[in-house]
Amino acid sequence: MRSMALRAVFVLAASAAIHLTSFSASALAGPSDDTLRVLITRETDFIDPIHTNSTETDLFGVLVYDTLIHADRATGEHKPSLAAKWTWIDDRTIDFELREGVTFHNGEPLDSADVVYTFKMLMDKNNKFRQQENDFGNIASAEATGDYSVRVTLREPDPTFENMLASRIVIWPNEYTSEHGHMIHATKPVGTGPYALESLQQGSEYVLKKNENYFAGPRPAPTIGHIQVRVIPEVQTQIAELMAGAADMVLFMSAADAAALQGFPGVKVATGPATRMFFLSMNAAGGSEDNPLRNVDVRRAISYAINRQEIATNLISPDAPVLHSHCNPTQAFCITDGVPGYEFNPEKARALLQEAGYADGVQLAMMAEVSLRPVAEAIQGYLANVGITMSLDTYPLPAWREKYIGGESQMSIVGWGGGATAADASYSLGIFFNQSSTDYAKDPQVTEWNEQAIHSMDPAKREELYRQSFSRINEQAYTLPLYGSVATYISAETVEFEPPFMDFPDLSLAGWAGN
Amino acid sequence: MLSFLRSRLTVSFLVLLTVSLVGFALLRLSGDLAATLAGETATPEQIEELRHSLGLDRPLLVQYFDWLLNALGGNLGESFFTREPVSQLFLARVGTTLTLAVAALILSILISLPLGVLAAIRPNSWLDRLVSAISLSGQALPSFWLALMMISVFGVTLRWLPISGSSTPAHFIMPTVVLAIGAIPALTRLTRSGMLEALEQDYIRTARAKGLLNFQVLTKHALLNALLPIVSLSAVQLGTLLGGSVIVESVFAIDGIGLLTYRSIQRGDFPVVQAMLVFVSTCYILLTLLADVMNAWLDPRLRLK
Repeated sequence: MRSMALRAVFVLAASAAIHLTSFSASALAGPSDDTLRVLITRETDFIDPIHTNSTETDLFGVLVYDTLIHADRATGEHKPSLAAKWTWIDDRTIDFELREGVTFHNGEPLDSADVVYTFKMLMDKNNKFRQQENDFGNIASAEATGDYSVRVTLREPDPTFENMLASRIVIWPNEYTSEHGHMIHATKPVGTGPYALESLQQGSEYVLKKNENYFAGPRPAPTIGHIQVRVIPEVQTQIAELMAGAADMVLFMSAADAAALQGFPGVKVATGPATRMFFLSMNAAGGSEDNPLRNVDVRRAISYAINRQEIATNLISPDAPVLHSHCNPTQAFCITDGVPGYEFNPEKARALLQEAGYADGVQLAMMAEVSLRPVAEAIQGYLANVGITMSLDTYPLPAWREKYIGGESQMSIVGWGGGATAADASYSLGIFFNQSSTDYAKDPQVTEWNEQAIHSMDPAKREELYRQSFSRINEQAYTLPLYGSVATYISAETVEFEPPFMDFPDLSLAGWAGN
Repeated sequence: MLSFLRSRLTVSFLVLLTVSLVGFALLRLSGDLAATLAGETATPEQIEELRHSLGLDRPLLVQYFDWLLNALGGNLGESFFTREPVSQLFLARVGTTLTLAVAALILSILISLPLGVLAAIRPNSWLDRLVSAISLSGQALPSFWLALMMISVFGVTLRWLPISGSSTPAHFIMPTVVLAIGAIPALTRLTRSGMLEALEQDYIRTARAKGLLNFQVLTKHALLNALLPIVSLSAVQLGTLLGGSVIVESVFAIDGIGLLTYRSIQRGDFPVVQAMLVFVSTCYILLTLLADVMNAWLDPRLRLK
């Protein structure tokens, strides 16, 4: 009896030892088992981009699905993808000619029925996709004009619709989706993309396998066999995994954390452009009668008083761009040339305050989301230097948003946009100049220009309208554009990956160094 | 015993009701969920529409009683974000958290019992002081710091253990140790004081007089008598470990209910946070109740109090 017990203990110990050693071998990331191990911080609610929209779903969506139009990751140029050709018939009508011979991961061939089915799903309000009305509400109809041709019409002309076609509107297989219901794409997604889902643990991990039959389109055939994406909420744990050689890549790390990894042996830290922007919002139209920000000279003084270059370089990243206009240069139609701006000039700020009758100082209140406290404190310091006393309250994001949307802000730092949906400058202007409660400028002229621009299909006209809009915003100092975000791409030396033109990475372009 | 049980059950139910009500109110006051859910570009009208469709515009008490009735019927609602039933999200993860908590409890008992006995054998000796120092350090070290230090040593430098995830038993070693270290001090102190008290009893002197071996006296006579409060405390500790796994699960990226709670708090997924709050408090209350009942069963004097 005793010898049996001893044997059992021995077997247990031996199997545990084998288990541990086999872990160490298999966990070594990299080319050895042809699996790219990627770490991200946040889980996604749904992993497909139609149900929700976030940088995390974009990451997944681009691997498993294809869109009709592809945004080239080096240049941003729109190229034919599932649509071999597309033609704008008029301001509201697009004809698509589909690529023939493309099959979904389940073997279903792609034809016009799939595209029409997907568009009908986007139009069905009962599906309750996230931001459905904003992103898909303009689609009026979709009809098949042949086995491989589709006509889509819009309610209003929309020059940014191609961005949506190249990001969130992925094509679902109609038979598979109608058989299982659209929620199947949240757990067992099937697309035409360069990778197919192999396994998924909702909220914590997914593993993708190379699609050997990937069609010859605008993207090269994938080279890495498997991609494993894991959610690790703590940055320190992510760094430890990278250091231990158990991860090949970390995405969406803050620029400050990424900078701390510079110089680590075996680790490459790359940064790339991002569409997110940060600006100082000033309540120029509301508040009480004696709100000093109603005076344009006070707003201009504030704009001169803040050293934005120092903030961007020291608090964000040496690569973070200082913004000139109320947009991020990564965005299309972000006009900066010829738009008046504000250099750092505290003398001028003091003089303007004096002219405005505030020689004895100004009292202002700022509220900001809690993670922006260092930036807010820096602004507090710069303003104190010119005689402006600014109180500061920080809140968790939902609480800050509630107050900001409620029109309660005198001054705020606003972080806005990110990823593919913010690819056009109209996104930055959006709710901040549309006469809503988030419009703290309430300038009907700016609203009118923006309204015309968002419905104009003529690029030259759009450019002119946005030039007027951005110029007036700066002249009147309605907001002070601060800095743009930086996208970070941390990887092991064994990985080859070029940072894309904006924070919308396509991991199917990654490869092993030297291969 | 029955009337004792009835009064304890009533108190437990009232505590649970209070916790759920206070939790519900605090969660609703923590921010505007409709604005978060509607997305960045949503207009105030769209946010209002969403608030109405989720029933978030009704009076707080109405929302609470609605939730309570559903919860009593076994329906904990759906996640606002993933639309999955909360019970499903919960059941998929509770096993992981329970494994972690039970393993940590067993480990902490295995360590704290001998430590407490050792300290009690020679009170105020260097050994006793060493045990006190170890317990105090265990209590003083923040679990996230300890977790990161262990990751640094055993995961990065020595590469003996996997750092994050929960796919193999090896993944549970570091988190179990971190959780156990937090539970050891209280158990050790209780073992020590229980043993000290027991060792002064007449029956111990009698046992020694009978010529029993010191080991037998310690284990069969002293420890068995000192064990009762330790069992009660262990039951309560299990509740603490279940609730305390939030930080450990987050650092080690273990997909249990702790991590689910952490993420749900971050994005204001009320139904999930509320369900987790009720689950952890129910566990805590039930385990405390169990400890009380066990004590009362073993010690009839307690039933009269």
